Amino acid sequence: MFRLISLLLVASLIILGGCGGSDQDSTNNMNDTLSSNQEDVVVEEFYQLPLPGEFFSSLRDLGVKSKPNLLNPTENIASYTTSAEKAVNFGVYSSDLFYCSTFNLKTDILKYFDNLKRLADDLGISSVVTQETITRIEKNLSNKDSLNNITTKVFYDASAALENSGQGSTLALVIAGGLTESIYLSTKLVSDYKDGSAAIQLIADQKFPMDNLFAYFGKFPDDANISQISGKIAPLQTVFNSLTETAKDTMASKDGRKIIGSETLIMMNAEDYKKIIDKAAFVRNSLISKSSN
Amino acid sequence: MKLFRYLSALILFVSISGVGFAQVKLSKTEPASSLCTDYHKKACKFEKQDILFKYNSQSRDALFRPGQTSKLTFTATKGYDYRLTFAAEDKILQGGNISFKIYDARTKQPLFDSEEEGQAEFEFICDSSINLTIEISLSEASAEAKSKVLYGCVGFLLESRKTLDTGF
Repeated sequence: MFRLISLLLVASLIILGGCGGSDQDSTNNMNDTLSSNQEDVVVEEFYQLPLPGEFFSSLRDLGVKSKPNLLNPTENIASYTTSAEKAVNFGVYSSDLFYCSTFNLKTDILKYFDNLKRLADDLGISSVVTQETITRIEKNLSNKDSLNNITTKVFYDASAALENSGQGSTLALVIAGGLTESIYLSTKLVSDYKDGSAAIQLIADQKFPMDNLFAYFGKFPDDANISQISGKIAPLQTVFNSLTETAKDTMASKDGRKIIGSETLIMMNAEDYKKIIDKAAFVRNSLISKSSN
Repeated sequence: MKLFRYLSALILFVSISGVGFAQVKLSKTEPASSLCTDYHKKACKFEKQDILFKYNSQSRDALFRPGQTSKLTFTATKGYDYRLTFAAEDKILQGGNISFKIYDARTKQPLFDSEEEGQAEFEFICDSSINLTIEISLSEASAEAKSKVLYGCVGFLLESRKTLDTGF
């Protein structure tokens, strides 16, 4: 009988030993625990959207100037009580920060970062905005590139933290808030329609990230928050989808590099643009106002 | 009887310890993506020298099995140059390679095939905004290799810059 006990002990220690060991690289030890659950791990189809900061930089490079009093007021944070409101407005405030850092607006930057910190704490991703982050911001208030880098890092870390903690649907809400706010701000910055304007074309082209956002929403068909927020943003998507498209000529290559682009160009006239402006404001206000959900 | 109780308690202890230990390392519900965070930043290197390209936030990592195919859709904006670089851990490549196809996400029209072009990386000029889908595939591993390795990281690095006007 003691032999049996000894054998069981040795076998158990071998099994446990197989699970231990130091991590050699990022995935060495996954084989131990995943081998019996191979079918449980599914690499899904991914949908990526550009950061709001990249969109604002493109507008700035086209000569678009900033305007005051456009951001979601910091005191609105008090009215965001549900997890969906907090996630959406984490995206909205992130987009506001990208706007501030891109156009070098120093007003209330610390208050906006403080809002991000409070929302991140509530969303369970407090590590993305630490006291060290706030200290770095204080030291770099006059440096727009540093502020842009810090904002990018916070947004990127928040995305990774939400995804890695299994909160993909919350991440979708953050991205939805960020995209809606950046489209809203762009329509306020470019308030007058001009035929052939590159800035107007860039705003019309937000149809592409909007398509990706809704494809990403589609990964969470049973999520009530996603259903609610996608319903709120749908009127804006509908206007983008109604824009006409025209075929365009494309060169095959330039300087030895391939040229790639859509076969059609999205067209937007003054009437279309007015609809985009109105719907962007309507949808944005529904996301930031009290009782938005 | 005493011995039987001792044996039962011992087996129970060992079983509980084993389950707990495994769960600390990777629970069944832990997203696979967390295991490869920032892999692309360390592993992807574009071979050609160039200027002004910046990291694009649409880059990402994923967990793959040998032989697996996955898709990623990203937005390319008019007036920007892009370059794409891929990397995978040696243990899942097993001497094989990463192949990728790029197509228009909406029309499904193929635009680039790394195997046909014989290129492991790709750069292009975007002349009108478009959503592009990249279909990334790893070579199927041999039966022997498959018995040793199940998973590894794949990285996709996207870099971009404003399109340069060249010449005088």
